[in-house]
Amino acid sequence: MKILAVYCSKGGVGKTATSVNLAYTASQNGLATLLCDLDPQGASSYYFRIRPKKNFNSKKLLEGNIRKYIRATDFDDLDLLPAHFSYRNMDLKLDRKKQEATALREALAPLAEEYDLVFLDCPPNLTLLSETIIASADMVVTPVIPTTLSMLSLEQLLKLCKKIGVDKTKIHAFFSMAEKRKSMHLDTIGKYRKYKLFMKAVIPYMAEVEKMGITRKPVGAVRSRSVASLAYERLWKEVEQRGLV
Amino acid sequence: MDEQQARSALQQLENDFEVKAAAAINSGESYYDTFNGDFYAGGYLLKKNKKKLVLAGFDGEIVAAGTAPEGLRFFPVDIVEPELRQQLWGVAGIRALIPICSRRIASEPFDLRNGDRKIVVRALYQYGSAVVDGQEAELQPLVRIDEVRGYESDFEKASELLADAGLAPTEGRNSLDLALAALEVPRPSYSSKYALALGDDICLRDAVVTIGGYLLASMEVNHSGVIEDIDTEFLHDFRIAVRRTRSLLSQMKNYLPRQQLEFFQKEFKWLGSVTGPVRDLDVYLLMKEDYTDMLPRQLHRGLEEFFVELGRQRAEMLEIMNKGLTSDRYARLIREWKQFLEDDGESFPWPGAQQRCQPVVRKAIRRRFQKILKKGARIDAHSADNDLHSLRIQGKKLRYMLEFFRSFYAEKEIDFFHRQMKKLQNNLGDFNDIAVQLEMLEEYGNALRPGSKRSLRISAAVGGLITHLSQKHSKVRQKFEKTFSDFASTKNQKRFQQTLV
Repeated sequence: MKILAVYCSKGGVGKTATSVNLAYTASQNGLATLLCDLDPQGASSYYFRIRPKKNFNSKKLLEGNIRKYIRATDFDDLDLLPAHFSYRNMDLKLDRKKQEATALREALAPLAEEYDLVFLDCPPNLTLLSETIIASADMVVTPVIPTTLSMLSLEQLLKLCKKIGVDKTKIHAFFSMAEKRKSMHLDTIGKYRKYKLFMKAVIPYMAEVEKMGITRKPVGAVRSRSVASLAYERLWKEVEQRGLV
Repeated sequence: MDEQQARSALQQLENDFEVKAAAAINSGESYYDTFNGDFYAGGYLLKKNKKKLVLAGFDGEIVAAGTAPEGLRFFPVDIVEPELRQQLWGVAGIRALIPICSRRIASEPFDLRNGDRKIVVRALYQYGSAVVDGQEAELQPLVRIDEVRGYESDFEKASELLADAGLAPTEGRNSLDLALAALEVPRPSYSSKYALALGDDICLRDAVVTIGGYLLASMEVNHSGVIEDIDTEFLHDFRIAVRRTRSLLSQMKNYLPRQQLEFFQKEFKWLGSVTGPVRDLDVYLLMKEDYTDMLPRQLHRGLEEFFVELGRQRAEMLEIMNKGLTSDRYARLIREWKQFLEDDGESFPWPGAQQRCQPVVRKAIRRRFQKILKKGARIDAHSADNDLHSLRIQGKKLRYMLEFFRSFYAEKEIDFFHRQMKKLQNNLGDFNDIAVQLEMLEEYGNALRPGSKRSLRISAAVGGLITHLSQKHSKVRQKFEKTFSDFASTKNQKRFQQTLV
């Protein structure tokens, strides 16, 4: 079982869209996949029309008592652990318990026989929880909008890795929500894409992805050969090659 | 519950869920089995769907699959895929695989969704019809529901709603059962093995009527399979029933009305002889593989031609046999035998009808057993082959009697006796089979007209077989003395005498 975190400290960069669509593509490729919605806002859960069960909370998650709170999505081989409002206090719980840096990995360990792949859809912040996520994951995929601010948060992420002693080759960035008509986007992509840190696939800004709020389905489930769906498939192939072979 | 009722039951679900159906998928399949129902009895279903043939367990798990041969029925040896062929051979052997029933099913997958339009239960509705012997009937509609992880309570709710509406998901029965149950057809089962229990106090007439009726039913059940030439076992089983009937008549000859006895003995003998030639040829044809193994490669071509010739002869003999089996003579025999068995004693009074059967039979069996001991003991290395043949006939008569009347004896003892008898009979049977084969081969070889190369090849093959079989014949003959002395050991004799008292 590999753990793949979709993380960025900045909000609105397309983390949830990436998590939902990559998890869907992975499951369509035959991998038993679990998507953990760690963001208390619960956007991933919303896209899959799944609400958490009663009694579920962040304490249960950190204790590793999660199996019975997992729910199947409408798609084969893809399950979801829904977000809970209590996740907003997860940092406090982590701190208080003085848990291991890889607390999340331990919590997920019992699921190793059931799943090939676990996606973590992470909340946008730079806290103790972020450290736990980065330390626990086998691979961190980070969406970067080709703008200065986004590049800044990527720098912060690399700095954080160094601080907590995590190998930064775990980090795999890609350009997200890129718009051809914006010269700054094109310049930024041109300047940075040569670095090994960046994957080749670029996810453009697309109305189809925005519409997920209405369709409440992964883009591939709406139309399997759409531009958006093919873009995520390309990204998935690269992720697979880089981190899961 | 019919289709319409089932649909309205399904509508109950709409009170609590949003129901979303996908398009129906139509499928059809035919179920195959042997005449005996060997597959069903062994827990298998053999399904044919278009060109695909699948052997599965009752739980639906696939054991082996392959391509279905052309034609209405086929044999395990006709299958191309080695694994499937072997599996089918293991169950059916030389029996034909015949269609038992066919099924047409429409499957409608549908989802139950909650207020968020999330799928919380997956379901499948199936309905259709089954056809057995050209008769069609609607199948009981079936609903299967599957739990979606994390939505257990919705699953329970759906189960309850369906149960309340009288449409409980059917479990534990396989699809052939459902198809057959819809037509009220009993599942296929027929056995050529004699299995009949007689009451301790049964009188002679009732015993004859029961056994004769059982054997007659066996003839009738196999009759059409013989005529249609479905496989060799129909004729084999038919002839066994005829032979047993003849044996019954001869054992009871002192108690049956003379005139009827003579008629039935004569006619059943005729029935035996009219079916004999085809069966003899079947035996050779079934031996093809063994014969091929007996001969060196150089003689195989001649052997192949020999078998082609046998096949041609069989086709001729089959025509003659079928004429006999559909003749007025046959119809009259069956009709009159039935009348005789159904008669309450008024039309055909027979002297010992009301006598208790058991003492008569016990005495006869004891006598026959003594006879076998005496005859067998007299046979030594210099005895004529004929002495062994006549011992075999005696043994066979005893075996039939033991089968007919086994319920008069303690099971454990009669089984032991039977096993010992079987060892002896196997030796004598082998000896006789080889003798018959040799005789036929010699006759065949003598009748061949010399001249053509083909005749030469055939006669070389036949000569090779004669050489091989003659050696085997004397080997089996040599084993007789040991086999018999084992059978007639003091220990065995003591035990038999106790059993047969």
